[in-house]
Amino acid sequence: MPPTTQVDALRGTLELLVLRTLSVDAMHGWGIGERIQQATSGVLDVNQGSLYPALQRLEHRGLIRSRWGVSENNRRARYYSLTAAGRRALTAETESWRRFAAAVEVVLQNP
Amino acid sequence: MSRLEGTVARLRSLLRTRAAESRMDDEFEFHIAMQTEKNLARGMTPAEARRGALLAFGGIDAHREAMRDDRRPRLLAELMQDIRFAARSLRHSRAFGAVAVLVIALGVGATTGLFSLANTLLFRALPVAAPGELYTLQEVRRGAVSIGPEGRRVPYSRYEAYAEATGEVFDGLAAHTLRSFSLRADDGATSIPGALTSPNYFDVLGLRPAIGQLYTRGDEPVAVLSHRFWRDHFDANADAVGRPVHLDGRPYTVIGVAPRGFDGTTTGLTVAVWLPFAAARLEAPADMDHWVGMFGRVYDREAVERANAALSAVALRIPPDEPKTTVERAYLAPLTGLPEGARASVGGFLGMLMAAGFVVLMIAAANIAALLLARSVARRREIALRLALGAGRFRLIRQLLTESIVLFLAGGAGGIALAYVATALLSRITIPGVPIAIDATPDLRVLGFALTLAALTGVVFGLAPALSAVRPELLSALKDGTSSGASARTRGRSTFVAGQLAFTMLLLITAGLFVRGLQRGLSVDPGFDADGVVIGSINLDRHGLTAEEGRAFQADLRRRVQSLPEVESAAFARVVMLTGSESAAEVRSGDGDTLALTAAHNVVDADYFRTLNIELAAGRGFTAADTRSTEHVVIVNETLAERLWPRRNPLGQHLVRGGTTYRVIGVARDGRYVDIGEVARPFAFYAAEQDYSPQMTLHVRGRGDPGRLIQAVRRELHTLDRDVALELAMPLATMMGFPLMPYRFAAALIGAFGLLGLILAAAGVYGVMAYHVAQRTREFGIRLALGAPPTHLLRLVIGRSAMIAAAGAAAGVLLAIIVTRLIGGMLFGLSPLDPITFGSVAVTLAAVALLATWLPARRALTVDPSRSLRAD
Repeated sequence: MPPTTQVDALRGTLELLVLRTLSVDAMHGWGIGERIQQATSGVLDVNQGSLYPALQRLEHRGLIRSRWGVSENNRRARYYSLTAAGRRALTAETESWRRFAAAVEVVLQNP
Repeated sequence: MSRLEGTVARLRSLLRTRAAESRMDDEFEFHIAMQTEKNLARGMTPAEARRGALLAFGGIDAHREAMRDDRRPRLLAELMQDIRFAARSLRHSRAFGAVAVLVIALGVGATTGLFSLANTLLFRALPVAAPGELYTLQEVRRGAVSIGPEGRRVPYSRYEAYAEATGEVFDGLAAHTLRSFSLRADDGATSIPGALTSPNYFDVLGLRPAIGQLYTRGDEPVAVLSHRFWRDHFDANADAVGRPVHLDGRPYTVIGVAPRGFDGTTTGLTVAVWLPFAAARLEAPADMDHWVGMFGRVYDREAVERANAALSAVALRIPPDEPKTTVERAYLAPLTGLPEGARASVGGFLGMLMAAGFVVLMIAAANIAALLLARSVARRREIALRLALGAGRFRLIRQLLTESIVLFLAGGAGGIALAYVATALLSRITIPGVPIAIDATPDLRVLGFALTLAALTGVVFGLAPALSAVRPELLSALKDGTSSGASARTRGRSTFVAGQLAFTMLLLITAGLFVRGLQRGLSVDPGFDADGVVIGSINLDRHGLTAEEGRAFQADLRRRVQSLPEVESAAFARVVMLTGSESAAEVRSGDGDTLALTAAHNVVDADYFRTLNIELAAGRGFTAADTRSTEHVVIVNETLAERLWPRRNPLGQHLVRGGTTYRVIGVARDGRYVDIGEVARPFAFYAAEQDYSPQMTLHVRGRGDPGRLIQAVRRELHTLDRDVALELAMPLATMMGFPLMPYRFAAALIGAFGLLGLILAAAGVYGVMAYHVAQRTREFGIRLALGAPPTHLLRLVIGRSAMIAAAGAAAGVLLAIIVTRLIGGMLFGLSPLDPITFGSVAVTLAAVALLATWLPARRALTVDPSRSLRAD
């Protein structure tokens, strides 16, 4: 198992991942966590509980909305989906992350 | 739109915490259940699966907290926390808290009480419909001028002309005049304040009656009572409507009562009864020539300039009413309760007092700030610890600031209570015979003012201690409790104290100047003797007496009063001296000289000079020989004589006033006639026999209790005619004291402020010196051990205190020099830089500062060198 990096310190990054995940499909909190785990091949092991404060923050900012629904195994779950503002934020945050990563890469290349 | 959704979501989770909490629990439970299932699928035992799920989830409580923190607006939560903390820490230092709150309460209370008074007099709108639309019509004229509480007045006929011609400017123009009426009662007539108005008065004001109706026509003898009068005289009984009241001997039927809270359009003067003009006129045609004030509801408040132009045009078109009167223009002035001129002077006066109150508040706040500073020093270990544990500096400052604001708001609440009590007492003060009632108790606006003042002061004066407490000297503070920057703190505190001393000096000097100014004013010889004299006015105008009858009546009354055993002498005069009222006319010499001047005058009868002990420098007084049929005579004062006939004998000269020639038969010594502080002015006395006036004031010199004397006069008056009231009956000295009341009030109030400031400044000096000595204990110990004489230490300490006091005094003197120039006009000729006042205040301040330093200085002497060296 490759070493896991704790992402919960980088709240912004977590929120970005959540927005990305939700851009594909609406889903509940557990599902978002699973999806991020799968997509990053377990490299990013989310401190699972920290997802929920992030979801609340995103909801308060109007980037996602939530409602009660029924899960695959007939359980009551809260489903989240992206709002229009969320979509715009996703684009903007992705841009800014890419720029940041590129800058870090430059520093690493040139001692 | 999404933003809105977000805000709604936030609000929802803020308000419905239980729902939010249960949702959180449900979601967490769902998540853990799903993870548990996944673990089960992987092959763990149920117990392992659950445990693994919980582990992977992370600290449930931490996540819950994080979500809760995000829900509550952080600021609000922290504020609640700060307030609770502040309350707790203040509860621990109860003495400090109590003193601080008391001191702030005094400062805020003083300022708020004065603001409340200003609010009532200047800011409160009249209790009528849409008061902002009401404007008075002021006419500027030369010649015959009449100004009263109603503003600039014009004869009634002129008002009627205005009312007809100004339909485009006013939606209704009303007229009114204030006057007193004699109300018949069983034991004699009393004088009640009333108003004569045009028929549309109540209509223009937009008032509804409390009971009955308000008149809209003017031709019937009806009366409207004020709510207050109705309460006092009819016990608020509804059957008052329809009953008669006898005013000036004539019956009027009560048709209604004005709404509660309406006492007329002049703030402070309470009107008891309103009558329509025409009704009063029907009965006594001699009353025709009323001078009235005018006001109306304007259509367009924005177009005041245009209205003024239109009104001036109208003013010039109306034919002049009095001979030799020119009308210049007319303009609108808002109907605000106090007439124009009064607003400015009242505002200025109250502003000055409020400034003094504000200064006291600043001094008090400075004291509190110094105490807070001291407290923060005492808590430096605690603060250093909290900083080391990661408390944000800004957060800490905010918390300390909250403490100070809580303190100041508590003081503010106390101040509001004090102000309420003080103004309630003030509002109860009544002056017998004068219909003044001011309800100066605080309303919402005043409350808001007080709270804002307290909060702002708390922020301003709490900032410095809060900032200085959170300085980065963690290590030393944690280790041994000392902190560098102590000298900076002492300097800061010393500056505070010097400032307090300076402002205290300003207050004391101002008060001292008022006191000495008053003394100076009162020490001037007014040229007559008021002791033992009582006065009372009667007005025969309204009772339908002709001049003949009036004269006979006055003579009769005088004779009766003079025959009373306790009366030495009695006389009528038109003007009461030194009460601020002035009658003046243009006079010129009768020799054909074109020299003319304006001379104030009084119309008096023969016994006047004797009654008031006025000394004649030459010639004779009026006698029974000076009658209507003999030549007109006049007594002039020295100044008038010198001005009209310089270096000539005035006796026998002729003086012309308004077309009549008078011969000078006597010269009176100069005195003071209108204001106690006036400079020598020309003055003339005319004989009452030759110049009848239905309104005269009886001056009675007698022995014994003035109250009984007045009663005796009233009884005589009652026997002559039970419908004539004795108005404004009081000792002459009392009435002369009225114009001085503002000065007395100012002196007393500012003096009290100064005293408070002195106590606070002394406490400040004590505090800073005590701290100073405590700081230097070790140093003193060393010095003593090295052989310094104790007096040397004393010099060090006192020298320090002297420096602070000197700085404070110097600043105070500078401040006073600048500020007292503004009150120069109220000092009766005393120089605003009066050296005696400045000097004595400076000496007092120095003495107090020395006294406050005494105790800490003594402590410096009793330092035990060995102990101080060992202690840390």
